[in-house]
Amino acid sequence: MSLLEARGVTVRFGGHIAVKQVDLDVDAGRITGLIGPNGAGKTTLFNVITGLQDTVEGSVSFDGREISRLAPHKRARLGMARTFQRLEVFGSLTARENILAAAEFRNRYASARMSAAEMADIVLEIVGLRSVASERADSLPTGQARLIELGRALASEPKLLLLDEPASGLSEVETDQLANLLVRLAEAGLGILLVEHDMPLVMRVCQVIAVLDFGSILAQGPPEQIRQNPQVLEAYLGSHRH
Amino acid sequence: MENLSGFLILGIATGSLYAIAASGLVVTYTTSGIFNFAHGATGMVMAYIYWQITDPEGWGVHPILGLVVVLFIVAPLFGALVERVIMRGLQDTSLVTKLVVTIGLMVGLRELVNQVLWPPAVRPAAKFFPGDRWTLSGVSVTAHDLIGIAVAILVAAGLYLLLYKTRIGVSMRAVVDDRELVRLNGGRPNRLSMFSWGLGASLAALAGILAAPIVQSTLQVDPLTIFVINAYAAAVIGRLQSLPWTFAGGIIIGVAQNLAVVYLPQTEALTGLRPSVPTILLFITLLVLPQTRLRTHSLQRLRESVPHSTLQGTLLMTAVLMAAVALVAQVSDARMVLDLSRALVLCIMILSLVPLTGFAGQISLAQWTFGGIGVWVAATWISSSNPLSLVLAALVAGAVGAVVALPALRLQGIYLALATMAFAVLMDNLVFKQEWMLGSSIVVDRLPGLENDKVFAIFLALMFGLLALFVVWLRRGPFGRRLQAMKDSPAACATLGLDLTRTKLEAFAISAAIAGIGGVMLGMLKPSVGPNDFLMFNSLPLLLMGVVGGITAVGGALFGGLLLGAFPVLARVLADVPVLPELFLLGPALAGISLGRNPNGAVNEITRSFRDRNEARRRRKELREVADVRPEGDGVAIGPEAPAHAGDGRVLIDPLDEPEWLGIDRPFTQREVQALNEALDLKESDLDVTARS
Amino acid sequence: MLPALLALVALIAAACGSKLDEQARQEAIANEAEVEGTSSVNGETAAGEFPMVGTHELKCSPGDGDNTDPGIQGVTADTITIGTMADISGPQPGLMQPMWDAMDAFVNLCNRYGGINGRQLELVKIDTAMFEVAGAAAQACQDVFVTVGDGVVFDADGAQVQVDCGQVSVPGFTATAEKALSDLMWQAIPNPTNVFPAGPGKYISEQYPEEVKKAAMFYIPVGTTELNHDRMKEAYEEIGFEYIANDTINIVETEWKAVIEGLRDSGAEYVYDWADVVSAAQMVEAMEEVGWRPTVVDGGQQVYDQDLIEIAGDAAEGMLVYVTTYPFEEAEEGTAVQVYMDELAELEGSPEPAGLGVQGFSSAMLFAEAMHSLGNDISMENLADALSGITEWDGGGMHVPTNPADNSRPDCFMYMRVEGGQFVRHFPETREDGDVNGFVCYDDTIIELDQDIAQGASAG
Repeated sequence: MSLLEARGVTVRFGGHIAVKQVDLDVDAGRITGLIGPNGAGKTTLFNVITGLQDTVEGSVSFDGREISRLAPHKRARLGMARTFQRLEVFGSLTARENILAAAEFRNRYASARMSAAEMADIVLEIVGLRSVASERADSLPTGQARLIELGRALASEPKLLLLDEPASGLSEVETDQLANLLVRLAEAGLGILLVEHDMPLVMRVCQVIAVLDFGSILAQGPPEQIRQNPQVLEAYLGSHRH
Repeated sequence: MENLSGFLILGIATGSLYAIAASGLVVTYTTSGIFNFAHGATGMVMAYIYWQITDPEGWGVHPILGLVVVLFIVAPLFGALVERVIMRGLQDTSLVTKLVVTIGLMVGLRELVNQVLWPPAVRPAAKFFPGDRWTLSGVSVTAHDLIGIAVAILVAAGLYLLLYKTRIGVSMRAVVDDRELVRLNGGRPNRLSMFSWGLGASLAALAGILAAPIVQSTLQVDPLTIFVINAYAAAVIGRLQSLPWTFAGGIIIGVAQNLAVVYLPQTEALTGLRPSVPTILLFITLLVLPQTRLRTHSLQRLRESVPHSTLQGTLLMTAVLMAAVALVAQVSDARMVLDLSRALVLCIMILSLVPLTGFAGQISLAQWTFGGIGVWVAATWISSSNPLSLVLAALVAGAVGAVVALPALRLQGIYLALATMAFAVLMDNLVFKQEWMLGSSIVVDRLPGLENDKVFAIFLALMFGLLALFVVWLRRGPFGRRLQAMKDSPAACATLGLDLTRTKLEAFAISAAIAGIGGVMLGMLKPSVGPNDFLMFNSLPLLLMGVVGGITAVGGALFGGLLLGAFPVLARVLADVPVLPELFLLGPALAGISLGRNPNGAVNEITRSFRDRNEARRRRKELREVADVRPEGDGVAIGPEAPAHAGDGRVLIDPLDEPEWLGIDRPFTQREVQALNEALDLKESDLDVTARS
Repeated sequence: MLPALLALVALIAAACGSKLDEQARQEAIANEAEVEGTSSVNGETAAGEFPMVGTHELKCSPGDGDNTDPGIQGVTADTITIGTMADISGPQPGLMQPMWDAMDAFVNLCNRYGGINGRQLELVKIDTAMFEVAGAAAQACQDVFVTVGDGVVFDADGAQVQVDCGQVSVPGFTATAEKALSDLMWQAIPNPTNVFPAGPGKYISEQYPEEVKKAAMFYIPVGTTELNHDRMKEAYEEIGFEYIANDTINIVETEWKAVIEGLRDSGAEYVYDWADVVSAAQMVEAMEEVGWRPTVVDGGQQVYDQDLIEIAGDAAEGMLVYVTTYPFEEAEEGTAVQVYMDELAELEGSPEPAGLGVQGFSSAMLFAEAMHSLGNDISMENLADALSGITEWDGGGMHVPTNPADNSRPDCFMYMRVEGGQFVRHFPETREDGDVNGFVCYDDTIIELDQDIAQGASAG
């Protein structure tokens, strides 16, 4: 049984169908990639999973539980965390405070294994932001802001991590470090759903890749398979539609 | 009940005016995203202008001509001017700023009319065709009533035609969805905004002129303003977007209000119920509205910043404040000591907004209401001379704050502000005047030892300091972070497992508790306090001056409160000087309106400019150490070269010692920007599109 | 930090500024006093003679010329500094301007005749701004000798302050019980709130015995209005009124039409509105619109105001209004109220006369009477003693006879009626028919009230 199961998810905005009958599985301990051209519906799907978006049809279950009717914060408390494509850092807080806040949130509803401050310092170290810990989040470049979001998500000790373009704005070296981190996290048992445009990164870390185009799943499978899928090549990898 | 259909007609007549007023509000909201709190005041001002033009005691112009002038010239011009000068700059600002500016405009218009242009006097407002009336099922209906209904129908039809059948109307609807798209397709969103604000003002004027003779037979500032404010409920029923529902909402409110007259008994306990009907409907509608979805990026690129207060800094501030107050109290006369004390109470009240509005970004228009609850608890539950009463007052006020916030918590932004306003008005009308509550007035004893006014003033300074320390301590702890996070990104908080509802509740409770203590302080200051001291209207300047002073910092609350307290004193002391007293009375309003230019508030701006300057100086010093050497004259000079002077009429960047520092230690001036643009062959319009996102 | 200090400095500056301004103002007042007027008071008086205000000798004179400085606050060898507190600024700008106008008028008049025993009056106008009464009283305690001719709606807040600092006040009128029953307070027309003069009601009940059995009353359940309503209701019920409707209305009442329809349905035949003149005007306007009115529409001094006619027009016809001040309609050469009106006309802007202004003017005359009797032996105690000795007072015929010393008055009144857009004498039918000054006086109609009334401010 997968950690996260989405079945027949459909989302409509007015007359436009953003997500059409999407089935998606994300397993614990594995990194699942979600790729597709801009406007394919990836972020909308994220919003559905995390509860920020209603569906017309379909259901989502997490850890065996049906969560389609749950409020976002309740879903988060079950163990899922996400980052955002358009930055949602706490701009007026410092990098450290961002992560500290997330850790404090967590300690309110789950038993604390360590103090929030300790957790924050550890996470800062993990994502490599110690040097800018006291800088305001809205004064940092996008790449580092994305790392803050990642750190926040980690601080809530999730079972499932939903990452929306976490490598955007990172240098080669930083992307590499991120990749290593993600792999380590998956090995530790986390399930990760990764949306990314950085193909080398996706190919490198994902065990499964789902391809979304115009709201529907075009293909789903291991990287090699996806790489050679002619439909995918045509729709996404080959043509420069974005 | 035989008279029912008669009362129904009367209700529809009143409701028609509500509908006209509300439609104007909805038009401006849908095209600009700004809820114009000053809509009611606009209608009021236009009614006064109409009176001035047409009344025999005014200029005696023919009513038809007067109508044309006001509805088609004065009101649209006024609306367009307001949009151009005040509202347009609010696009990128937070909801709090937008609210403060429109509330400032409302307060400003009211003061302008009441204090300056048309001080209280008898100004009869005549109905149209006053003599004509008919009796419908036992109830007399006047021609004026029927005219109101007819006009509403015309307005409804006209708006429909405008919005769906004309090009400009379609563009107006498009602007809501995507301003940029409209511009790229050749429309002019700025022109459209001005037009829709002009239209909104005209509709407000129409409602105001028709309502004036009905509300009271003489023109009075507050009743007329409140009448149009009651129409906000109709706009809410229309979800701030649907005109048909807005019209329906207006009718519903009018009918309900009239039926309330018939069916409600006129006992002392229930007197306030009748005029409260629209407010009650507003409250109910707000609660029943479907949940608004959490939007990501609900707070776009703010031009606002939050400074870091420290505990030591706050301690120092308190010490200095107490010393200063002691000094001023010594040299002042008795009345000035009381004025100063009152200003300190205002500081405490504004401080109560800091955790709620400053940290959490939530709006409350009910601070004095919580103050009234606090003072009532302290004085009547146990005596206020017992220090425990302060704690009790804070607890009860805080609890009420939480309870009030509870149904309103699903609401965001505007709706939340309206809910707090509705709560405050209901308390004013229904509860505070009751004998068992504040009645006419209650006497509040001071804590023992504080009978001397000068000593009490110092005590107030101490009280402010203690509360400020508490707020700063909160800010630096987990609670402050929670609030800050919630303000910056509610969506992110939710996805991190934070129960926003509970956090908002906590913020409301803390804010209400501090306000409760402030109320007790006011009670101790004055020989007696009554319902008049805790009116909703009085809470508005708190928000205005708080935000202007810098609502995110306790220092801002101090500044805002002292300034707010100073205005009426200065107006009184300089009463014989021309113009100045009026200016001071308009002070809070002008401050609120100017906030559009300066969303950070005065304190933050000043301290930030100091900080920036120091920062720039520091960087200059660092970089100077790696400056290069260049020949100058016969020797060498260290540092970058000064630019040459051109004699050919080009606009030069001002010569500086170190042109590299341009933009670091002082901002670009408009001339320099233009010079740069010329040099780079850029046009402003090219930059415009990419600057917005 | 710095901005906060700046704001504090602003307040300090204002504190110093206020003193300077007062000085300037006082100088201006003193200069104004030189102006000659064309009042109906005798133009010239010989030494030792006093100008006549109606039937009263106004005690303003140049004195003997041998004044000494008594060494108390507000009084020198040449001047007496008095204050007048009134609601001027605030949510209703200009509300009590008539009180300041009346005092300006009085000071001009008195100083023209030498002041009080040769001491010129200097007037300090203190603005209570409706909600700053305590502060204003504190200012009065510090800046002036006594306050005269005050008119403050929420005067309770200042009552104890003045008593505590031992300052005498002679207000134009009192609104709350705390002030009306206060120590160290005397006024031209006492208004003790623990009794109610039901004379007007007795007259009505004699004229309309059936109608008063179906009486109705409206009131705003707040403050002084509610207090007065409660007092009248208890007193009138005592003399035989039966209220079939006793309804509250809102300060801003928008449903008058429906309210009147309700009144008609109840069968009321007499109505009284305890609210301000605007409210009463709207009440009768609504009656006009509905096309029904009770047989008797009754009102008190607060409705004796030209605004009633201006607002309601024809709708006010037939309304009965009882007054205790001499009607302006009967002012003529030789009457006290004419002096008041003439002095007012000399002021800048020629303000309209007002009933409350008459009371303020008369209180000022009362003060002069007491002050003059002290000669050179001026102290607060002596002034208080002198005021406690004046048992008969009518301002030279400006109003009903009263007993300031006892803080009471006999039940005298007069009824006016709105006819042809004017207030016209209704009862007694002519001035000569009246008992005193054209007013009728009833015995045994002052009702002692059982209900709880607040205490007056007391000295201990």
